[in-house]
Amino acid sequence: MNKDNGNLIGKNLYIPRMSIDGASAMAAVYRSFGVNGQVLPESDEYSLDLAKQYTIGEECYPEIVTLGGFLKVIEQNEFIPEKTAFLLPTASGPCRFGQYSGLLQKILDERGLKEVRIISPTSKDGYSGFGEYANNFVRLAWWAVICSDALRKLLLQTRPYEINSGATDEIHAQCLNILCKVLERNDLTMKEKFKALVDVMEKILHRFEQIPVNYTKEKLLIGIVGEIYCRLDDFSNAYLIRRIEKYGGEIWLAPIAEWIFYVNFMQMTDLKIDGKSFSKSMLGTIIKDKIQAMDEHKLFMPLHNRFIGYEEPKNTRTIVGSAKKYLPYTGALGEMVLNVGGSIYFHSKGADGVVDISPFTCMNGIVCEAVYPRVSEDHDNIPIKNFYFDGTGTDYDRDVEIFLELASTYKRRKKIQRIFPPHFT
Amino acid sequence: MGVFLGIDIGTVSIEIAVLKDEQTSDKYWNTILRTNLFDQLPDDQFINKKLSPNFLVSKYQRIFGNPVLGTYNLLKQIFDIVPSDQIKGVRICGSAAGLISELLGIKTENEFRAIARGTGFLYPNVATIFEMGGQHSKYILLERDEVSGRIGIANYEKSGDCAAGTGSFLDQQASRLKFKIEDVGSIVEHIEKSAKIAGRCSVFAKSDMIHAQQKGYDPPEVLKGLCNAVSRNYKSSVVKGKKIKKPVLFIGGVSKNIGVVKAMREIFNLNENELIVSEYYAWMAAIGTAIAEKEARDKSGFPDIEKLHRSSERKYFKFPLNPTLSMKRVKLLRNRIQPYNLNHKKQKVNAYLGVDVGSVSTNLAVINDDGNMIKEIYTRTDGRPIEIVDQCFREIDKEIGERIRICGVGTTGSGRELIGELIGADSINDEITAHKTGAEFVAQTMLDKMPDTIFEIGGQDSKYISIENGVVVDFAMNEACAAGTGSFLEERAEELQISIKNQFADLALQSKAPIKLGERCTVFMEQDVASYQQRGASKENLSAGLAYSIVYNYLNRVVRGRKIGDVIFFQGGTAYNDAIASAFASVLNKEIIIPPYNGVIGAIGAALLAREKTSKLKIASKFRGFNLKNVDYSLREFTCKACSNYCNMQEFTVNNEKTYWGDQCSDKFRRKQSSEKQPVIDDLMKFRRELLFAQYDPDINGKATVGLPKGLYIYEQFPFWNTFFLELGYQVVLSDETNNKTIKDGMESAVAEPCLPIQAYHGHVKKLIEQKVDFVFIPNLINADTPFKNLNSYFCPWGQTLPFVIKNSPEIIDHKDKIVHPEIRFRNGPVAVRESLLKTFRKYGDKKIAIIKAVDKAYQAQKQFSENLLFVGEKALQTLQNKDEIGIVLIGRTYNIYDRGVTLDIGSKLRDYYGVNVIPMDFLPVDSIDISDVNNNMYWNYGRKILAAAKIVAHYPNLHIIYLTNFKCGPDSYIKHYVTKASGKPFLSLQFDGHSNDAGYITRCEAYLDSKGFLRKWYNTPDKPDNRRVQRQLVV
Repeated sequence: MNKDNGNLIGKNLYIPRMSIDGASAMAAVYRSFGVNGQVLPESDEYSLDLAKQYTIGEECYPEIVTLGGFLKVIEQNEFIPEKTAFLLPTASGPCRFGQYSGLLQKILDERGLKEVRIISPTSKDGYSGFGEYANNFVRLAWWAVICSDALRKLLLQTRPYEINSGATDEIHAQCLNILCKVLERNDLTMKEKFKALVDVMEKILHRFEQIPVNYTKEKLLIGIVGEIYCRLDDFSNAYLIRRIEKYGGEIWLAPIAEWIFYVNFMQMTDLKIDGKSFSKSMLGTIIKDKIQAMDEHKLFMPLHNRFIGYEEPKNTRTIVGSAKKYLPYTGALGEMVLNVGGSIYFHSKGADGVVDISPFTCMNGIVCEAVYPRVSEDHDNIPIKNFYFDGTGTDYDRDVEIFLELASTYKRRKKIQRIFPPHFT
Repeated sequence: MGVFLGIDIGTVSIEIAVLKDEQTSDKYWNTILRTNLFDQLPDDQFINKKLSPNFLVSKYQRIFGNPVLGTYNLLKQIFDIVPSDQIKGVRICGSAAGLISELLGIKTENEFRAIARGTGFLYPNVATIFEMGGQHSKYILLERDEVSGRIGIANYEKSGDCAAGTGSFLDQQASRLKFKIEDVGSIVEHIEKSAKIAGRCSVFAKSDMIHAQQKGYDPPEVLKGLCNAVSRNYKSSVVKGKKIKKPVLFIGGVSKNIGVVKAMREIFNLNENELIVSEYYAWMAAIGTAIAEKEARDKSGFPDIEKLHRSSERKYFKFPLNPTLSMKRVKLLRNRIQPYNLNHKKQKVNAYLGVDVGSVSTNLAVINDDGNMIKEIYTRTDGRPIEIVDQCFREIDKEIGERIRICGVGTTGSGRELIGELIGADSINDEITAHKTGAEFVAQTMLDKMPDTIFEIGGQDSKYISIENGVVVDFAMNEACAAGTGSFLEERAEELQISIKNQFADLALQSKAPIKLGERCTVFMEQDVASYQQRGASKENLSAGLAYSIVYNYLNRVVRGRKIGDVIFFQGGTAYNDAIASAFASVLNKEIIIPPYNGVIGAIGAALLAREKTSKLKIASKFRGFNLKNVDYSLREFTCKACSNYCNMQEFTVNNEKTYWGDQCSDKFRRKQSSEKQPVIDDLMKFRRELLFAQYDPDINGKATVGLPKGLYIYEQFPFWNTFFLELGYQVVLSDETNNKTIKDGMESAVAEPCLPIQAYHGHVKKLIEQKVDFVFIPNLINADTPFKNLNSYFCPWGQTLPFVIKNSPEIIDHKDKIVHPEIRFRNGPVAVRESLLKTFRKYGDKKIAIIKAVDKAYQAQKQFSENLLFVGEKALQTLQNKDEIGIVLIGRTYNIYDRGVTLDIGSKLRDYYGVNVIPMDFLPVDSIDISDVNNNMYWNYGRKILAAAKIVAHYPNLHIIYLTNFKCGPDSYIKHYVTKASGKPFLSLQFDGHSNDAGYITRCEAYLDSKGFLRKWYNTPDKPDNRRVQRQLVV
């Protein structure tokens, strides 16, 4: 952002809940660099009310949710502006997401809280004052993303089958704790830390395998795509994932890593459009992309068997390539190509339906909604449905039930069957 | 052998369906049938006759607000007949299903799914279901899975929290006319004529009914009018333009009403084979639920119903509560004034008269030189504005006529023109300005702060006004709903037998436990209150709860998230009720100020405005006196059918001038405002329109026709694309300007719900395809040219993806190959644009050299166009400075400023009605302004331009901003935040949503222009600079 890059060390840095696992892991990464990373307190009616004092009600819902969370921090007794920083990533368009941090800044300025730092991690600001450690920070943050993605995936593929209600959530919380403990250590070299994380993944897998479960092939596999914050934050999507599980679904949620690979991919695409196919920035991006893919592969290794049938798409090109017929990625910029491509990918993996979670009036979501009927038609009429959220809940249970009815009809006639991992047999 | 039970438990009644399995013998089945509990309904011609004998249904039973007992009673009777080992499963759906299923340990079924399944079973050919029930209505579009043959739900909608389009609407109105709802159908069946009932809301329908009877319609004709109204309401508030596949099955209690069935067929244009009714009208959900139970693997089995019995005796209801009411944060100014006494004045007192004529109430105020109240009147208009004003005048004349001398008269309200003309008003002002003026006067004389928010709640109307530094920046009012108005309370108080004037507030303020009734439609609240009363709620707690409800209704239906400031005035007739004021204070946690004479603030404002004008301009009043007998006027009545509202109109002719009264929109019949002001600059809107399309000639023949949809970016890029295609030898065809049909077509073809301009664009494309053009050109526009290369200059994601979205519209998909959509990045310069166009058009056989030349020419044409605008703009700006006149800069997306069908031609109306000097923002040198100090990440093209224009306005004290935007515009929701920062001035924002009613927008503009000192030269605007001629240098 436009703020000075002064040292963050010692500050309380609040991280929005773009999934509880992702935010916790990222907080741990910051802690390992001496910044007191904290997960933003969970949103509620009160925080929404706080946010509404500064908004006109037409902004993106994730902005209102995160803004409310930040304002709630400001209301806390122990709040000291000089010691506080907020993490809010940014982008350079074309959707509204890139405007979030600017508006937050404006609101803080108007409230006379200029000392509060807003951290919007971009390469432009050298990752907020980590100087020579910037590369390590970026890489560790990436590991945190992958590990928390994997952890969430384990949670979602286990919870619907648990015998004792609540058991999976409990193990998930414990495992998240184990993961964060390793991420936040500052006594390890990067190499050692990576090794430790691979060990953690094995340990986590083991824990999950201890949960009493009853695997049945009857459940409906529902892929979830959509706006990244809304789909990952339970409060924002009115706990839709649990609702779908309640009515007999199992969720496959598009991971955070997908977005990061997409950003790399679009950087390369833009460089190509600008005629810079053979530039230093191109080379840098390619190397970053390759390293990230390699790290992901290694961290996922211990989980290989567990994720048979749950493999993520090979790369961004796989996703956007299949979406191209509906939305070409050079002409349709942003999450929409991932949502459409993701839906097609889920179809190819034998899912029984796809849900798109987006904020109400989300421009990406609405473009997707317009092309989904044809996507569905071209893919055995797999049911695809948009769910929109703005905090004024309607009867989501009813909608989920009706959708799952369509999914179960589809399941009976679908042409592509899902592959079940060994633990199902 | 055995049976499955499906229960549908609603708010009013319970239905049970019994489904037999294959082994059940006919003999046994007949035994059950012979009990008087069940019916096997007669078949109709559309029913699946093989399957219908498998069902029995329970007779209609009401549950009298107690679903638990109701279920117990019916199940008990059934279980007495059918032995428990014969019951293979029980399943339940409906609004109280959750409660009962928990008690009984049985499974629930989704109501929509149940209806769909029941219908699919009994009526396999039906494709759409309309259900109109007592409290809820539904629309369900079915979808048959080709392979499995199962019926699924493709789309659905339900009535929301509004009773329009449900049986309750009809029920309530019929009982007002003293008819039983069951009889309505047969009464209206053969009635030819019907009264016009416009109101969607039952409160407004009531006034329509009274007027209809006054006009001589019989009650049956009024009833028929109601059947039409409920059907229209169902169409507009439940179906909302969704797809209807034939045949349609019409079910729900109201489908028994032949009057409504007829009306539905007429309104949806369906014949008797296309809209069918069923004897199973009330049992479809129960039948579907029984089928679901039969097909389910996990069956519920036989439940122990005594659990219901035990629990029905217990009180399982605890009332949810609101905080108790307190007057601590309510500031009542009415206690701080002395009544004005005329009696000891020896001479006639100078007085000013204000008349506020609204559609619901008429208020008058007589004040003296100092603004003290001499006489106030608050009365109902009753659709007879002239008679009412006449009556009020007589009353004033009789009481104080002798002792006052009228020195000025002002009118306001929707009847301001009509009455103003009639009585010889000196000033005629919009109601926002009048209310604001009244409130500000109170604040000036009694407080040390000025209001920034006004809540105005009258009998059937409510308003919200937001003021920033004395400038009206936002305004809202209730439209089709009376839930946030005084009538909401009046009707409820009547039922509770509480006098609204004398008792209500006292009772409510005594309440120790105000019941949380939530926000509700008036009709539903009637039912809620009745059921709370049955369950023992006290009048105190109910009245306090109702005070909260009106506040929530108002905040959620009128204010709807708009800004609420810190100095809040609560006025209008309802503000006499202290309970409501205290509920506002409690909900908002802010101080609420009640001005004195809160019921007539608008009239006080009108009187003050007249006082100001006559005294500042030193003119004598034109007042014609209190005797209206001498005024010559005539009256004609008719129904306006310009839209589905069917307003009853009155046409008054006063001194040969026609004035209209009674419509909701005023668009068609409003008399043009006659402002004495004349604009000093040219009509830039017109100039630009002519310049933009100057080179368009549909008669130029070409090798093929290329259709350009007349929407969105074409309002800016027409010179470019027109030139490009003409150069290549194509014939260019523009679609017609956006009109109601374009918008309707667009809304129907758009799959999702994007913003209005995008929807309208769909309509344009459809039109061009109908015109059989060879190609429709919809470029995939990524970004615009910009001098600020550090950031992107994107169009919005909807604009960017336009061709892909359009191609997938079901209405257009068959013609998708006609759509030509090169990827265009103007930001990357002419070479990149040329490359992209070469790639596309060489495929169509155009020569490379020709394309290159065409691109060059296109760039030239566009440049010429922009330069022309800037040249004329500069001149206009200079003229404004030289003549020291105020100008309004229109900011917004080009298509919002210029597409007259989308934003109702507001720009031109400002000029025509009020003589405003209008400068649209592309006449200003926006590209020379850096906005990074206002927003350093403005990657949208229009966002940058809008903020740059706002920055230019900052440098001219005599320029002000009106921001034109549309509902659902994503980028604008952010850009708006920065406009005041850029311009340093409060601005008016007008948001358009596709309704062709411009009255609200015009009123807002009028109030805004007024507070900027445009309509009253004699008025010292709050932000008027000392020296208007100051013109700082623009920072470039």
